[in-house]
Amino acid sequence: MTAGPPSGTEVRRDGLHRVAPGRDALIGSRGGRRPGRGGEVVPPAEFRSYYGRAVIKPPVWKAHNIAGYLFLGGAAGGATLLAAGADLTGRPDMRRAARLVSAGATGLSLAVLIADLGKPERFVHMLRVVKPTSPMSIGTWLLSGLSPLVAVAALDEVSGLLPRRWADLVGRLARPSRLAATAIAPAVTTYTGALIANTAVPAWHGAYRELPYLFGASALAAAGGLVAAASPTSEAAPARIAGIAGSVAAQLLDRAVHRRLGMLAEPLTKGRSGRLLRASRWCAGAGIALLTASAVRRSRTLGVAGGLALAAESALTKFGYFHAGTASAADPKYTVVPQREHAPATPA
Amino acid sequence: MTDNLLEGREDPARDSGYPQPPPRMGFFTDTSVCIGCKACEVACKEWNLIPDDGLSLLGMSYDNTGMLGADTWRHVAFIEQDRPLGRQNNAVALMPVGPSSAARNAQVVAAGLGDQHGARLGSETGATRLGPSPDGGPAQPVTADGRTELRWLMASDVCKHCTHAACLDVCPTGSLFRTEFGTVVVQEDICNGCGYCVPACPYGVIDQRKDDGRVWKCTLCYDRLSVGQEPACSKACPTDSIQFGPVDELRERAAHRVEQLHDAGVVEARLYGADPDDGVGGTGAFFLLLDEPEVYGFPPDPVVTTRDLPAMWRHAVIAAVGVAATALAAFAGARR
Amino acid sequence: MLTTYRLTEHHTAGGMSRWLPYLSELQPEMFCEVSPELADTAGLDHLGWATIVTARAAIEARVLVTDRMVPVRVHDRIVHQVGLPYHWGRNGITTGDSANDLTHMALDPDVHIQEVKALTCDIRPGRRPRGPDRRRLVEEYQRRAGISATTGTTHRTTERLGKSG
Repeated sequence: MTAGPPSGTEVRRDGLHRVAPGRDALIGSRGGRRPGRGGEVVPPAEFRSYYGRAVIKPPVWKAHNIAGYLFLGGAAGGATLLAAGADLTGRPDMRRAARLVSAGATGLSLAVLIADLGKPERFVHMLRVVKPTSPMSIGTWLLSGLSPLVAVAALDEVSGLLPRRWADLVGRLARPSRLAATAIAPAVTTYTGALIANTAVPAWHGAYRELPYLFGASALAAAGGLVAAASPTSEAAPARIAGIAGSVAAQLLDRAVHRRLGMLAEPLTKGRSGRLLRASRWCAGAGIALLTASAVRRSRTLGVAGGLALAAESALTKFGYFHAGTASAADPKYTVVPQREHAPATPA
Repeated sequence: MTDNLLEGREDPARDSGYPQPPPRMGFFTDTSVCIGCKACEVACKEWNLIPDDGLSLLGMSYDNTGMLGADTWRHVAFIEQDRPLGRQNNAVALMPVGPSSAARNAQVVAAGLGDQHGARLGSETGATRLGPSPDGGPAQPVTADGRTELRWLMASDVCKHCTHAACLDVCPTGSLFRTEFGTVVVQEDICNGCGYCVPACPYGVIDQRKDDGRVWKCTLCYDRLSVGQEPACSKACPTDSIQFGPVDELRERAAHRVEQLHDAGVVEARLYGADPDDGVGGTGAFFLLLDEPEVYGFPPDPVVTTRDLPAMWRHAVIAAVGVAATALAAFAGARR
Repeated sequence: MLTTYRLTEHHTAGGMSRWLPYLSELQPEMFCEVSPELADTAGLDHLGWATIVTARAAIEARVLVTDRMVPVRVHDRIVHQVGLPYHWGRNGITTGDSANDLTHMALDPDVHIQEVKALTCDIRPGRRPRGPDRRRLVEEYQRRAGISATTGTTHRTTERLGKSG
């Protein structure tokens, strides 16, 4: 037996060359090697896994579709509420802005959700059943209910552009649509928390108590921000307040999630999620400051900037949580370690 | 603990509305007699016409499959460990020089594998270890050089066909359904590729086939069961490591086998998934393992996510009311 | 010391099983198995490439480091083992160098089938040279070991073999 160039003994016709140390060690002698299992190479054991492979499957959803939907759906639901409020309190410009935001976000939500299915025509299979055990089923029905209602509301805003007959029909449907949409909208903002928490993904499931509140608050921040940005400063006060309240609540709830998750919060603070969530905090601060300043100075420019900052905060939060979930699923540590703490006792 | 599930507890088929179902069928995979021939993997693919899922040398002992997925419904795991199997004696003490390195191998493998087969490997964590369980004590060197005995664990993994199946619960189309045999099957003409079941499965079994977007998993050969045949994998298993039958009967057989192994000095033998009181209500396909579940890539204490769904809905409704109230308050508080 | 063996996933030299995706994906590449000790000594990396050279040829294979390969002690010498499955060749879904290139044309003294269980070899890290360099590498080994075209062709009786081991 000879070895290649780097080291080891070469056997040649004229004898052995470069004899490896310990080569002639006798059985029973230590030969200079350390006993044990090469412990100097193995780092301290924290948990065990099958070749470091993930135990569960990370979500196959595309981030821009599903994390995008978490943001858009929230904005749609929140804007629908603000539209109703603006309507009731006589703020026509804000109402128009809110209705257009709500219809636009709802339309985009449906578009990204259907896009994620791969084949759009398969969407109709969602409408075969109503399944309370599946937040996605309930969510599909909520969104399918909301879409035509907010579409009618948005058309009512632009009825001047419609043919006369259509404008009349839309005008008659506008009020019942608005009421129904307002009833559905709050659930649309929060069910997404249950949607992603209802998985085996450690960072999501672990936060199932907080996620609906966090996503609802974040939805208000997004909707308040977008509507405030799209409305005249004089009418936008409720949107500003809702946005700021949502933003503050979302940041507090984000803290609560971190406390709840313990070691599972690691994916929220590391890597891409960590960067996204840190950026969302900066956006929250900037948005709140700018919107407050816009209210004081009656500045539309500041309002637009602040509103967009809050919307960005919401989007960054949703993307941050989405990626944290994926990261927590891809690393066996987050599945094995928490489960090991309360796993059944094993023999010997 | 499972009272609040929308699905029943003991007899999944009956609870799913079959008035007179046949006995619940399942697998008992006794890994102590698995020889790693992978006949189950091949038989499964042949019968179910599953495409191959890529030629990649993974370096995980003889496992070049990695884990279960859309195109792998049976997966044989290979684990090399630096300890003897029961009272087995490999006569290592007579031959070798140098320390054993099964534990180091695992490290090298994890570091060398990178991103393969869609799973990110734990090299980042720096804590991946395949070695023996800590409660088993350190491996006992059998030579002065520190080499230990070696055991080569093999285990054929499969869909667990849970009593409380998360994939089935979360499926928004009803594509996943409970059969009269108490198993869980995907109807491929109904699946619309939403992918919700993939992260919902606590075992990482069900997966999306990239080119068609739908999900696929073990059907426990529903077609064969329907005509009174046993599934392809258990039919092909040459050592009866994979045993097929009524779950009740298999559980009895498994308990007996554990006793037998304990008597033979294999004290580490334990059942996994046979307990009807675990987080998924027991599984239709359960295992006899020779180490802790996570060593084979199983979750140590899986829980069906929908156990907490009623609480989630409660929180979502309260949160929705909160959102509406905040919006209302915003208008109330806004000055003109 | 080199030894060859089969894998359950392939059939003989792989001429049939290497064309089947279900079997090829289970053992997709030619590999050599070495002990951790040999990997250290020869500088081999898990899943890296190694070149295995005998008096007859040089082939390349991916490295699997495993405790299942145990260095053995023959008298007072430590002999490392290199394990090679012999299922690969140039065609099929999965291709690789053939272990049969390395083996000698000798018969097992007891049962008179080809003797492929114990050959002397060298193993070195990296892929094998291509083209004429491959031949030159083997010739270099032959020159150093003093092997010529006539080496091993002398007729030996079983009595003599029995005596010399």
